[in-house]
Amino acid sequence: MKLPPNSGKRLVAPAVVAAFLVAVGAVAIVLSQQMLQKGRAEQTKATADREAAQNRLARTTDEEREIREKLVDYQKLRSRGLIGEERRADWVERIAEIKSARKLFDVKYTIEPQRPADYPGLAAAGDVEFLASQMKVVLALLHEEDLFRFIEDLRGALSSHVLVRSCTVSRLEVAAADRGVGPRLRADCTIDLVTIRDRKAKAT
Amino acid sequence: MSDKRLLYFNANRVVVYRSAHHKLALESSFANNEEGAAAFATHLSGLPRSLFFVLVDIVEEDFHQENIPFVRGGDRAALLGRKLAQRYRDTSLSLAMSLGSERTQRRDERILFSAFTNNAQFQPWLEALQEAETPVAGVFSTALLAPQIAAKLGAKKAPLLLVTLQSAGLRQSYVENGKLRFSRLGPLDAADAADPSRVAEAFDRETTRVHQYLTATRVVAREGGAIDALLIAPAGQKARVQAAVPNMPQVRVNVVELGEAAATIGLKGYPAESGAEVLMLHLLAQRPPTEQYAGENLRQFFRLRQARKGLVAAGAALGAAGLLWAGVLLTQYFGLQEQIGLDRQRTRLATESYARVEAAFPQLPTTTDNLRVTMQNYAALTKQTARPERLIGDVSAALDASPRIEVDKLQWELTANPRVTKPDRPQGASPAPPPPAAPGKAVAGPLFEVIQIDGKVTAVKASDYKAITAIVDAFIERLGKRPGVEVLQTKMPFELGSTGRLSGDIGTETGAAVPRFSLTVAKKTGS
Repeated sequence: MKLPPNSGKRLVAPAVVAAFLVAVGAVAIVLSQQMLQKGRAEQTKATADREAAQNRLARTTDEEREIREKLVDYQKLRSRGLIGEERRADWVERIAEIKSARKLFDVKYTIEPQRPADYPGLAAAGDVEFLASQMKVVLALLHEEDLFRFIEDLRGALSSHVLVRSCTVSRLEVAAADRGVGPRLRADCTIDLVTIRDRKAKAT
Repeated sequence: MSDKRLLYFNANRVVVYRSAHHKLALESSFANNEEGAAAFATHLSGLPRSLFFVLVDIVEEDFHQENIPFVRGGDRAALLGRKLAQRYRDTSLSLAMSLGSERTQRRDERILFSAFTNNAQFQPWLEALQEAETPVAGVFSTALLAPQIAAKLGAKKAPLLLVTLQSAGLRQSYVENGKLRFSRLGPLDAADAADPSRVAEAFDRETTRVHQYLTATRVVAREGGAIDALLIAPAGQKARVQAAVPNMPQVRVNVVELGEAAATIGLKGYPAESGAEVLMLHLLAQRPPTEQYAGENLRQFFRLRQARKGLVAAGAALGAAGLLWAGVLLTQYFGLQEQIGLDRQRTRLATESYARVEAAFPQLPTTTDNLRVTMQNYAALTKQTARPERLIGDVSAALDASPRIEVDKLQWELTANPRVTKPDRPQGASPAPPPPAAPGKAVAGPLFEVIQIDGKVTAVKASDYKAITAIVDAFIERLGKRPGVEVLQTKMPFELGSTGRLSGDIGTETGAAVPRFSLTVAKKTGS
């Protein structure tokens, strides 16, 4: 095959046209591939959404039963005052009432500032927060049973969940003559008073 | 698509035809002399650069069949070139056409060598084409078109003597198995061509010569019987030509009129008073034979045109392939969109159904998720809420059975690390909690109640190591038997092991010294 001299120049224009046509095809492929990738991502999301919605619907009966059960417990917590802001003034009154009712010798307490509860197993959730106020209490006791009754009374009387973290019971050195009337034991306890803050809770 | 131009070259005239839409139009005609060639050059300069086919119809041509050894590639090309050079003085317009192989062991190849024997007459015309940079597809002989005409008019394989009457004269071409074996142009004046009896006479004369030649060269067997001949008669003269054709025993004559032949090959229009060359020209424009006479030098602008078209065609093919592939991808995309639409529709239906069901749920004081999280976390909190009286009760039970043990201090605490010794924990500090759970995950490690007991042994001589050890050991054993209780650490009043120091005062009675011990026991919450 023989081409005339200076054929290169005469081939430039068709080469440009050919390159343009190839470029059109390539651009079309690239654009359509991008669209397809986007479409695949959309489809994955749409399928996941559909499966989630369908699964949720399928679980409706179980969920309704679960919600009804949990609702009962939730209402109990709410009526006890666990859900909502803590009521320290009420707590102080209740402690005083317990001391008086149990005829305890001496009850000294300190309630620390409230902080997020840091117990294992608490799932973090944006709208629900478990908060703990640590109370350090020193009791003068006649018998260790008084300590147990005091703690039990706290559980029943305070609008919070009572969680004892530590207690030290030590024997007081008492003269033999005073043994019949004075305290014989000293208890130093650390107790967490836990309340729940639910930002989505509706006012009663 | 640009028009094709056909240059019909005979001894008297050179005619330019234009072929488009299955029609041939006469564009210009020139006398075959120097003035005509000059006028042709001028005519070319005014034409668009269209593709030219040169069809030569002259007497000065040669056909020669010869067998060559079976060779391929460069050797074959060299051999054919050598053979052409041996036979023809000027090979610038020559060709070697394969007619197939002999069915012998040597498989010799039959080649039809052909060339124009007086090339000087073409030179001014071909030079004019080259100077005008006209793409010339090739130089063809009317004989090369005979197999196509024979095939179109009914004789695909059977031997046929095709007789055509064109302005150059009466051409007789012998075609066998679709291949040209021989062709000859017999002179016939224009005046004779119009007279059917003269045509018949010329046909008789020329056919007899051709038949004799074919028989002599053994192309046709001497006793092979009559051969078929097809005569294409001028328009309107079929009957007269047929009547005038003499009865030849060695040839069976069939006459077809030019108009019929043109209609059969698909030629829809051609100039009146044309000869059978219009059939060849039309077929040349539609489907040119692969063999032609011109060398590469004459065809260089045709090659350039091919290269240009090839580039654009390759680009168009790649572009089209790209568009096609893009189309396939887009089809997939639209398929996906359809599925996405279906998924979204089903999601909406499921969500609406759930909303209807949820509407029947009891009125909630908070969101469903908050209700769930609250109760889930509260359950986790309750699980790790221990009552000190549980483990202290275990200690009391063990103490009841150990009257000589007296406890001075009990330190109870809730911890995740029961084996961390007490001095490691700051006094009064809260037990170290495990790290908080990750968002959305409830990771609960076990919690332990741990109690450290500081006590003493009473009513035993401080020097009675054996008795003291037995009392403390019995207490530890009783503690260890309580369900879930594990004794983690023991500190005895004295060390009876071989690695410690042991001292005492045997002569002294029970004094102020009291044997004290310390124990650490643990119990997992909820056990």
